[in-house]
Amino acid sequence: MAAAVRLRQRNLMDRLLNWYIDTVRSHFALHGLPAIKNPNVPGILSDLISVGNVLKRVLATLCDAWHHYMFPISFIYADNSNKDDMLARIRFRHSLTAMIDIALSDHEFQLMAHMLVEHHLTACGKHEENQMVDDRDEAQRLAFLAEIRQQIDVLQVQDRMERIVAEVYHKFIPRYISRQYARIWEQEQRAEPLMVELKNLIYGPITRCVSVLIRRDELLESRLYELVTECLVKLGIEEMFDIVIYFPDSIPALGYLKMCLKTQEHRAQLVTEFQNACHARLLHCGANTSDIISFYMSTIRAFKLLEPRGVLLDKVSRSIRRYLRDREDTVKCIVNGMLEVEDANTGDLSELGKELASSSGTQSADAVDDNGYSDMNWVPDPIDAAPDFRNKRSSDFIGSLLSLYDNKEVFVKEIVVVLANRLLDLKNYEIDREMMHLELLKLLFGESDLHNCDVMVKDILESKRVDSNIHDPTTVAPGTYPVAGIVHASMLSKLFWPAFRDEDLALPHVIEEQLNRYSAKFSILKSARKLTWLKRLGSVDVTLELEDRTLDFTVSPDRASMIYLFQERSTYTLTELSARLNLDEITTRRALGFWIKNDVLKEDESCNDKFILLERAEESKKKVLLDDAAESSVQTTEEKATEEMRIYWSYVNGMLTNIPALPIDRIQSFLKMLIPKEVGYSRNVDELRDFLTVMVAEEKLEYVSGSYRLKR
Amino acid sequence: MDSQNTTPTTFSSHKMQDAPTAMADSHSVTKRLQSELMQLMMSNVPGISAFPVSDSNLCQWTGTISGPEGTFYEGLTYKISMTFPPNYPYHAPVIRFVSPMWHPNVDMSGNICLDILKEKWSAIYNVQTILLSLQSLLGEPNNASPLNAQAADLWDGNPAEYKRLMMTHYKDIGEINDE
Amino acid sequence: MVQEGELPTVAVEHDPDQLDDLTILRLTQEIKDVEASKNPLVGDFKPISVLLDEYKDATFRSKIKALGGGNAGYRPVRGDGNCAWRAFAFRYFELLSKLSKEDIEASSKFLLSRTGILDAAGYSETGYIDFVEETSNLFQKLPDMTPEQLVSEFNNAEVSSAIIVHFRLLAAAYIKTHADDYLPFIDDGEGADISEYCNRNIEAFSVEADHLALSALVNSMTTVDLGVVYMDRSAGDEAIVHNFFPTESTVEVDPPSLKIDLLYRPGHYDIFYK
Repeated sequence: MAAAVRLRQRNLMDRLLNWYIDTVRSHFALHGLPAIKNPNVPGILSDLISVGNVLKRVLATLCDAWHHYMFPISFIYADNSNKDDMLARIRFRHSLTAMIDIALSDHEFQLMAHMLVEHHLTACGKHEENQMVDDRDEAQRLAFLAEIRQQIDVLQVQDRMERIVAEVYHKFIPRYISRQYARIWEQEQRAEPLMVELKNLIYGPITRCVSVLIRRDELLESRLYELVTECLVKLGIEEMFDIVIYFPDSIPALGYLKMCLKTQEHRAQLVTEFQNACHARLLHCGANTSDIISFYMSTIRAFKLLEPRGVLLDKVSRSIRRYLRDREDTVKCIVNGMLEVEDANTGDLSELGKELASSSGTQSADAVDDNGYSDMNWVPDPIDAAPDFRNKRSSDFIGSLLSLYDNKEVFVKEIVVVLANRLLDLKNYEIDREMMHLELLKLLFGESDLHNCDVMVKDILESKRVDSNIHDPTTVAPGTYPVAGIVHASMLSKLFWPAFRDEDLALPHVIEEQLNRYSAKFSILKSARKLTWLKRLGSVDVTLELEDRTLDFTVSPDRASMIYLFQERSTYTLTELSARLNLDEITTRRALGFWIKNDVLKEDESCNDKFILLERAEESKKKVLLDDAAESSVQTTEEKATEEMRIYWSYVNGMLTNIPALPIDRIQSFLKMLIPKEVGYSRNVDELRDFLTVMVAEEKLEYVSGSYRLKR
Repeated sequence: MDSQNTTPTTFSSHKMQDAPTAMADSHSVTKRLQSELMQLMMSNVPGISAFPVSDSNLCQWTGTISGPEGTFYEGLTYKISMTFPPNYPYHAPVIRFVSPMWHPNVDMSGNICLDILKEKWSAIYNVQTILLSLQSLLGEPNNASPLNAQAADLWDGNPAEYKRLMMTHYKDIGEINDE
Repeated sequence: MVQEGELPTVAVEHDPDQLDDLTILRLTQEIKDVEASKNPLVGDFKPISVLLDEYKDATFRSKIKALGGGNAGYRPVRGDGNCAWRAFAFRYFELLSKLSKEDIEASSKFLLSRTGILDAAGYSETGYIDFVEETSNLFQKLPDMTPEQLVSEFNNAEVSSAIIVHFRLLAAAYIKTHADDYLPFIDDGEGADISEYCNRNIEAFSVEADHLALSALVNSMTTVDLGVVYMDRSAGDEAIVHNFFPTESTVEVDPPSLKIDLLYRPGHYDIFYK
């Protein structure tokens, strides 16, 4: 019986609870929700401090509601020993939490919570940034967050808060890192100190801030740290191309990347990103070969630092190497670099020469143990090494460059040519530098391949001796004249030098005479041998004494002979010059170009192909001419634009005369299709719209329901 | 088999336009028409105009002709269609009046009798010369070989009646565009 | 089976009395096109004996036999109303192609300089320039062309049509600029109009060349002698040959003179090789 009464009572109690839950729900919907809705949220959202306050007030209201709704339950179902009472209390609390959770899922609340958390994280970042530690400030912020945390605990919506916090720091940290550390490579920040700084930030303010808001979690710190590492790796991967460009200033950045670059995925990503960047930014026809080569050298060094085994280097350099092989002037650039020749066309790669000097000693040692059998520190190649990966243990990039081609012969040929040119350009027979280079190159290519070069160098040495002999007044043979001192010749052993173009040149009479005397003397000294002059080779020091100025030049013999002719008279035609010098017209023109550029000659304005010596400089006049040209080119651009507009308008007019109304897309595609390529139509839709709007403003067109038509 | 469609004398304008002939070289026709359009647009002769119907097919144009001053057609505007064959300019385009046209040399379907569009066609003609010839045809019909005998009779015989009948057929170009 | 809707225009049987001009024109053109497309624009060389197989008629056969010595032959040209023009133009370039590069260049320079008479006759440059350009292009390619390439170039309708128009305009321009010489031939007693005549008989594409047109063409080019072998049913054992010589031949020796022969059978011209 008692059991029956209890059972009925129990039923009643259940029904009472159900009724109460319903009542609470409708009350909350009617009074609670409107109370937490902030009527002027949009205005408030712009102010972070108010956001915090509003958020706190919302939570406080909800806490109040919580206490009110909870109150009757706490004494009706007060019996802690009664299992039913316990269950009822739990059930009610669940339904209450669900209700409040739904209230908090409101967009505005989410937004405010995000802003609040982000604001505090940003404050942490700033705090770390300027080391003016303001602990009071942090304490204040933490106290504020603790209040929020209390309310969250009351409402038992910790899950929601945790989600929000996690979302925010996953957004905040990458942004923070890319803002703070992108494109900073030179500073020490990027290596160890950077990690310390970040660790301080993470384990310090951020962890403090986050852990006030959410339940303490041992994994939190390591999760945050992982996130930071991940972001830094991504940043490094994205910036690798620039890191290589700024090498060696960017070495600190590499140090850090090396620490973070652990997973296969990251390695693969690094290779792909770097290759893409190379293709987009370097391996195209706009880049100089010398720039590509020096970039390749930096790539070798940078990737060797990043991963000394060279697997990554092997992968990323394949496309660069392939591209370099296809370039015509690669060999020339490399050889010029090794011989430290500066050339406007091939750029400066003298770094190669220095590298040659410093590395050549170790080169042969490397070759001894290619398979690394005696290497006690040997470890297997990484798993992502390409099948044909060969471990090159030195960061020697000369070797890498030489291995671009299957045989070294291409280099040897080029070396002979470059060296020959250098030796011929010499004055005073000083060949110390060339001899040094040659010795270094011999170490690289072997003695036998460079035999020709040896002969060339010896020729110059021998020439020095012979030349001084010829000029020695004490050795004048009876019956001959002493040789005047201005001609110095190099005697070349024809077989060993590269082929010279066999071109003639009519030298000034005085010089020819000296050459003859030189030959005569030579045949006395070396009776078995005969001199054949290569008149186009060599260089001449020229001093021009003009009416108002004296100019010094070192020029080729053809240029010198040309200007010598102007001593006779001040005007020549092109044909006259080319006949007198015994040169073809193209070479003559080129020589003329040199003197015109240097304001020594000018082309007669009234008569083409007639050239006049400028006894007096004409600088001012020339300047005026230049200015004129600049001005007229500006004008034609404007004229062109006006002309184009006139054409476009006649098309639009013609179009709309025959097709009554057209939307802008159709007009655009008509213009694109119909205007002939010679005239060209390159405007985009927006530019067209601007143009049509002007036409509407001028009342030539009208715009009606999405289409343009002619205004009648 | 449908016997109507296979009769040897069958002619369908659809077939004519689409059938490729040995002369077809649509690229050079396109280029030619493009440069003719340019010429037409830039010369901007008042009273005549023409433009391709779509940007994908340059061989179909639509044109507008205003009646010359001092003729019955003064102040009126007519719409025409122009279809260029693939072997243009070696063969004449087919021109029709789309607007109803009451004229001695134009029939009720808009077909035109103009010698330069037929036996006197020459490759040196172009869109502009065609439009100008059509415009002058409005003022100077060839009444010797009319397609519209009534119009030919009234042209000289009864100008007032000519004008009246002509106007009963006239449709404003706005109305035609709306159709 | 013809599916409904495949042909948007309903085909109608044409009553011959009710055909309008336009349709007649189209139909004739269609028939011409069909007939012509069976033959290439410019065919391959054939020995003259091939003609014997075509004719039973004794007059023809004897005339053909009279022609048929040695390497004589002919090259068929499509009968599309442009045959005389196309035959002439092809043969002109074929003969030139056998000459030296310098001669070709001289001929090219000379022929293009004749463009002056087009201006004199009142043709606008924009009207003729496309066609003259095509001729000039061919001149430039000519020195490097094989005979096969030349044939295939002429079978490109785009090229040969343009050149034909150029030659037609030259002939028409010659007539217009020498109106007094030609007027008597054109005058049919009802008052003749030179420009009307040129328009209808020379400028109009696909209109066959008459005697006057050929004479004007030869006169306008001034470096070509033309012989036409008339292969018709007229009495005699040998075909009559009519020669056209330019009235004002060039004084300078620069562009070499050429001799072109055409074979005329009623209504049609082919190229004749002696």
